Amino acid sequence: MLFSITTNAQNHNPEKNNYVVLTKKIPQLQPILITAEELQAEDAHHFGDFQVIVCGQTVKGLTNNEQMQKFIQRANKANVALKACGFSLKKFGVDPKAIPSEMEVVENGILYDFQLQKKGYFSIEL
Amino acid sequence: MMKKIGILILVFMLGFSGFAQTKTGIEKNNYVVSTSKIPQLEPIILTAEALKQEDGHKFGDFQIVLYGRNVKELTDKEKMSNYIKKAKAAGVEIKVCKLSINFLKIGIKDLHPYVKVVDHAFTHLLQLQKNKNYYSIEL
Repeated sequence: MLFSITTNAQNHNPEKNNYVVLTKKIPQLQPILITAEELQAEDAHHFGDFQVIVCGQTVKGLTNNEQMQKFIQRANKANVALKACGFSLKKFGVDPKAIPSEMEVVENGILYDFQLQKKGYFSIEL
Repeated sequence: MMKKIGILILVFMLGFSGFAQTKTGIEKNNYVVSTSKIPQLEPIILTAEALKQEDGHKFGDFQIVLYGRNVKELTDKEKMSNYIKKAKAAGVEIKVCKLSINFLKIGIKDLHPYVKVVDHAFTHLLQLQKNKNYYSIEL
């Protein structure tokens, strides 16, 4: 019985810290990425997933490739997933093909954020 | 022998207490979204509709808390009745900050009766998170 308990304990995935930030301003990506880097260092093997959702009128700026590339590269290095809100793209007439290919489009950014919160993600909105 | 039985009982008790903890997860999912922009009501209500479907019987409460200068748009009866029809259908409550309507000199009578007044938007938000474990987004 003791043996079965220890194997059980081993199977138990040590809890990871997961984070989601919803932002309405592209320049906020800079401090958000710094935060992700710091949390990764702090959490070490407890660091799970870090996602950023870009929503609102600011999505127009996602087509600025030069500006976005430095964020994309830094996000890649820090294992941060950048997402764009599909509702916002539609509302502000941004072609999803015109934004960096590294960014996944989620249909509804607000819904997506709540879905992550339900999975236990820590969340803030900027 | 007695020692072994004792350990067995302890192991079972531990097992059961773990079970009890997972069982409390049957609670409802409650949500609150705050915003200072009235047109945000539309995507927020769509979000509530999607969560209601996703959660099924686990869907609890969904509140929208409005604050700031733009709440004067709440007095536009025509515009609001459209949002309120959708909110009602989705089971979404709409609240407005009393400080904001007082500042803009809007009377409770000027608001659609479906819109309820809370004393202070941010206090209300924090209370929902603190006391009732709401998931929250500040847009």
